[in-house]
Amino acid sequence: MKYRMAYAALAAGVITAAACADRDGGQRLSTEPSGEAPVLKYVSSRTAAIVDPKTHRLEPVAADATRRGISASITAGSNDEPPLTVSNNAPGVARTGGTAIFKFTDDAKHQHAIVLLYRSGGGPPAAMQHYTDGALVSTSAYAWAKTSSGWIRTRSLLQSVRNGALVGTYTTTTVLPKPGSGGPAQMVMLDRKPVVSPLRKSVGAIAYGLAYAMGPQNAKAQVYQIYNCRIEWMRYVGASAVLAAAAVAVSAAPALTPFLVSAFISALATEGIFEDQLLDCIINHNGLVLDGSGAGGGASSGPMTWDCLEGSFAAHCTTPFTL
Amino acid sequence: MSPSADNRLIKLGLAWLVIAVSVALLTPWGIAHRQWLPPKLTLVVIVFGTLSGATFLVQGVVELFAGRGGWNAGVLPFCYGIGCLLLALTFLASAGHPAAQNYTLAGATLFMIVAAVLQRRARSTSP
Repeated sequence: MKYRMAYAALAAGVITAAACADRDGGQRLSTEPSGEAPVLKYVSSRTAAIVDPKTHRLEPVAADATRRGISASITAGSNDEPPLTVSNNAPGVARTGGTAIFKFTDDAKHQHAIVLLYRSGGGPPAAMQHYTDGALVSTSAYAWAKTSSGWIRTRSLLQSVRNGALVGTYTTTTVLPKPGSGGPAQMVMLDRKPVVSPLRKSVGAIAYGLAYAMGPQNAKAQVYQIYNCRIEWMRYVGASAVLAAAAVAVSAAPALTPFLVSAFISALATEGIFEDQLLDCIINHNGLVLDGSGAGGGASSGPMTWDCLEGSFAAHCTTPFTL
Repeated sequence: MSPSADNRLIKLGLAWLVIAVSVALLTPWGIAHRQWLPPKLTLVVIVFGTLSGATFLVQGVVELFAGRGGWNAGVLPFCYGIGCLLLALTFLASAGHPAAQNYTLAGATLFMIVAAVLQRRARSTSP
């Protein structure tokens, strides 16, 4: 028994040592952070309107104004800002559907996470979620029109969320511009007052807390995530079992033959090959998450339900990305 | 040389072969031929959990077929093995979604607790 355990431990050691390594010039090098953060101009506007907390009436605000309850990104645009266009190979453009996560920490030590959701055909993100310290701050949904050089954003819907409750929406609509001219943007409104009553705030916080605590909400999405590398993992399990069986055979055999030795070495090599394939799969599909807090780019292939791609901040759209 | 001495010699050779390969990966020569990535707990747990789980499962099968120590001897490694595999699966899933850990982690915990109880019972009943 002790020999078996010793072999298993030794084999695990060498396999683990290999797990932390990568081939020189191999495919996995591409998973290292590129240091090139994507430019995320996800909102542009010319005018905005919010509901005055006192009068409950819509009132336009200047582009550079800052009102309570409005994210700075909303008012960051200028009147002369051109329509948002994205080139084919721009950072943040995905080839397939899935999600991409970008994390960073600001000067105030707040951790931000930007989650980009892509439709099955890839392209620019269909939706974006912004988390601060693990709490959802806003969601944005985009509509894009294909152009010869990339895409142009035709519509965006931003929903500002505090403590799980919607506190405002912001919509932009861009008309496709004529050649040489900028695209006008029509600005919209907040259809809810930005100030939330304490009762509603408490109810929203409780509901969101329950949704978070009772997660996972979207088991189907998790299954898909697991299924990303299911074949590779199953192969690795099989190879590990074969290696363990070979170790048992070696220790139990009355005399070690060249066949047993070669079988053990072959099992070890097969184990390494399948492990390499598994790690490649994991890194390729989840490189962003594995990279931790660094800035990086890429998209995983987890599917999203249609409402998530439309900017929904329901629990099944946000729970997978909260801390 | 007797078969047992031959057996021991080859086992020792295999052990030293594995150690030599492991050490070779750490030498400047090994580093020069491989691009090193920072160690990732997720990957290590997936690798160790899967390897340990598969080993325990094989051990359970062997114990069941050997019939030594009753059903406890076979079930105990099975519980450990399934727990380890679920733990590996937890980290495999969490690489995409942190919340996906819940089900598999709960299952791993359950099997580990059952295994611990079985082991404790086996110790208390053994002479």
